[in-house]
Amino acid sequence: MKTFTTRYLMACAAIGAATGVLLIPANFVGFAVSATFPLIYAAMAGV
Amino acid sequence: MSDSIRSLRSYNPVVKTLAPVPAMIVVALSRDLWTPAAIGAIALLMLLIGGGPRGRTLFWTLAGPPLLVVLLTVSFGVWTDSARVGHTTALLEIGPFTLWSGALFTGLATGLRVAAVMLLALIAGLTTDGPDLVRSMVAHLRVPYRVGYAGFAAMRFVPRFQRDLEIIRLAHRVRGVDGARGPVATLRRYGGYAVPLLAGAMRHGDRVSLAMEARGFGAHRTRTERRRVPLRPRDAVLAAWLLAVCFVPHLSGALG
Repeated sequence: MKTFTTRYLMACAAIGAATGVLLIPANFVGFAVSATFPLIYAAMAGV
Repeated sequence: MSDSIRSLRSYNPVVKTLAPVPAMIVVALSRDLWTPAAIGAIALLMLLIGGGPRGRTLFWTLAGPPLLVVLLTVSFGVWTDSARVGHTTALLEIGPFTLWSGALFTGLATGLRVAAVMLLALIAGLTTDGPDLVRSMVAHLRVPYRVGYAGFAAMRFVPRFQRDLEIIRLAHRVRGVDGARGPVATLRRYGGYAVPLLAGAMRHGDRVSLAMEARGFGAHRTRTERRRVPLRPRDAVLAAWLLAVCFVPHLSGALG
């Protein structure tokens, strides 16, 4: 674990949090679409 | 934090997160209606008694799972391959479309499974504080504290990045970048937000890491915590109870 520098770990945390924030609307849409139109959700997951 | 034995908030976060996993596996592998319905009902009761949800959370805890089950039952009724359920009863015929009872049964079973897994996940989700989960993982699962603190940082980053995203969105709007409507335009717009947001996020991550190292973070192998999240006998009882829930499917055979 020593090989992971603090800078590396914080960059991972930042990328993960930023991607999560960007994908919040996609999660809501994905949940609704997966339950009603599974085939469209498959295409969405592929993208 | 309430320390009452009835409150799920007083239990160890790691136990609450990991102990429902065997029950989730049992539910996911089941194919009948009884197993997910019984385990889901137990999880719901635990949430209502031990979680003490109020207001909107209470409403969605009670209304969400039945709505999801109904939605998936209808959705599977429409989308299931009719060749696989053609031997069951035809309930409705509208033009070329036939609604088969087998398709509805598959949808109901799937909906119950999804709802039960969701309710089991909510036992930890609705009653656990994120930083306490990280502290507990560092203390009891031997997760290196530097990784744990990256998790802490990620949680703290979220409100900041939400603000950054809003600023980027407003800046694009002022410049009139891609004001078109529709799903494709929305996707393109979000693609435009991604680059500045990620670049800003990495810059912020860099600054935070420098500030942490300047204060001696990571200099020692171990680190003491001001706030402790203990493992107590009540956690063993909760884990045993959630393991016992896995045997609920066998009750249907025992009860005849």
